[in-house]
Amino acid sequence: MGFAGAGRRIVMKALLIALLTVLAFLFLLPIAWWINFAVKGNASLTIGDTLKEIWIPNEFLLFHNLQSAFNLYPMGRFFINSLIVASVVTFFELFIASLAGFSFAKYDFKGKNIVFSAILSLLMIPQVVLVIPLFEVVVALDMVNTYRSLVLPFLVTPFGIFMMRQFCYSIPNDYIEAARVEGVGEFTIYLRIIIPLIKSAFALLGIFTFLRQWDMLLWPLITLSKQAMYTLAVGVSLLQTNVQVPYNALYAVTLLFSIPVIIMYLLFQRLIIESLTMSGIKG
Amino acid sequence: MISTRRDNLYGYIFILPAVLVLGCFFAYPILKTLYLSTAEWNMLSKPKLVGFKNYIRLFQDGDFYKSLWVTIYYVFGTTLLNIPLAFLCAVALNGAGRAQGFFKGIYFTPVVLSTVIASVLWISVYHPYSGIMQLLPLPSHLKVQSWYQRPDLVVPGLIVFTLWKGIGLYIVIFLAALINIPASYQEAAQIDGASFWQSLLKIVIPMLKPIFLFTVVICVVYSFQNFAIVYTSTKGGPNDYSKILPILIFENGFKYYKMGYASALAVIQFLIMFFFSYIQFKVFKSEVE
Repeated sequence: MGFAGAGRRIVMKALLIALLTVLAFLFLLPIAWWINFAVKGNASLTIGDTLKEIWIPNEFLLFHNLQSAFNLYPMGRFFINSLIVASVVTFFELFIASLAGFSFAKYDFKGKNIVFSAILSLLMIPQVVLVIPLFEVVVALDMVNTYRSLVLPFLVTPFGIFMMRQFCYSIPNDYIEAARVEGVGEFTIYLRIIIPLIKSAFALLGIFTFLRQWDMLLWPLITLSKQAMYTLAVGVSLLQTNVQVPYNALYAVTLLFSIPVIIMYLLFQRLIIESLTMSGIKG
Repeated sequence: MISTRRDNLYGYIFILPAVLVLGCFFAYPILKTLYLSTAEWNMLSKPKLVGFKNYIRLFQDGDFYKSLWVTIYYVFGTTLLNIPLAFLCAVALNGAGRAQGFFKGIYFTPVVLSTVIASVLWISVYHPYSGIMQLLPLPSHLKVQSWYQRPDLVVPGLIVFTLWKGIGLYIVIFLAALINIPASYQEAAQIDGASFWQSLLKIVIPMLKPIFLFTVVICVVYSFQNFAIVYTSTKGGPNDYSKILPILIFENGFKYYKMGYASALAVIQFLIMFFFSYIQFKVFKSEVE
């Protein structure tokens, strides 16, 4: 590579970073706005004569805003409910979906395509109409106002199965064949070979499932009637439909409760980085 | 693949937990919805079977066609921008080395934030006097009124918000897939004389076909289903110019108490989505499948 080539590479890289930075700045603007409202005493956009006054907070009332939210509803309880539901669902989704995804990708059995198409079609049904009949199922199973009603229907999703299947396609069949030749059992192949090879998919699905459960509103809203069982999403919607919507408290609380998801994201990220260093290892 | 007894046995066993869960909870709702689509039900009294009346009414309903158009506009706009941009971003990040984690985190942050609150936030982003929009170098006729209030700009406005909220997810997915491709493949091609873009086109993209299929299908499906974002942002307005199908279904079912008609609409929406997904599977068919 000549000198001109090396110079060009550096310029390209600098340009790349510059572009990424501009993009990052644009992405952060609404978030800065969010923090702005969470910290101010008044969320009104029309107060203030200059853009500067509206944009830059001159007071720090974050904890005060949080306090008002907690005074109105037991947000701590909601938080724990969300944490339990999201964690349990994520754990099961990862394993059930990856097992099924592996099977769809690497095994050939009668009716495979039909079953997969049926599962995928579930994704395409407008969720608004499924909610009421699903509630009927919950009532029939005597699970109303329980953690079970929030967890069981989502132990696995078509999204998870689909994703795992696609990622399993990238696993070379030779690995699997080699293991079989050595007499390794199928389930052990799944545990010892498949799972380590799709670690990044695991991390991804884990983050996404946790996030989806954390954010889920329609289902808990419709099926829960006991306030002690409410999840965070429901709690936030309570704040929203309050007679006097406490916007600052709203923004403050939602900011606070994005933190667990961010932690989950960072945790799962480590998994991806680990899998990076392992990807060179063969056999 | 040759079907063997082992494949048949373990294939079924491994999908059993998934099938059990999904079948147990969703078989009945699906059947009930199909049944209700042939009935009239105001949720108070018993459903009254009316055969295909709902469907006939549907095909003559101007509201349905308008909603269908709005939905397709929104779905196509979002997906056609989301997936290519996410992929390019992931490629850029892949080449950025150590700064990767930092940027990835920033782009992913909107994904993590509460959807409903983000929607409320973005209403003020488009605010004509003091919204974020005012800070950007745009021609003034685009800044004078909130995009959410203009029938011609409401869907683009929603698309921009949806992109901000969702692209991080696809960037992360593409990055995870790109990491699995050893850099040696592309380097080998480049040593042989291919340019960066050529190696990208001829080697990387074909290898990622399953991932592309996945992201496109998911993006389309999620845009179609996107009730929370659109309803919270515009409630379907102005003048129904952002009333995507889920909102139409929701209003018919929970506002006008016409659950039967809503169910029929849902069935039609399902068929449309199924049709689009079928096409996508055909387009992205790779040798493995």
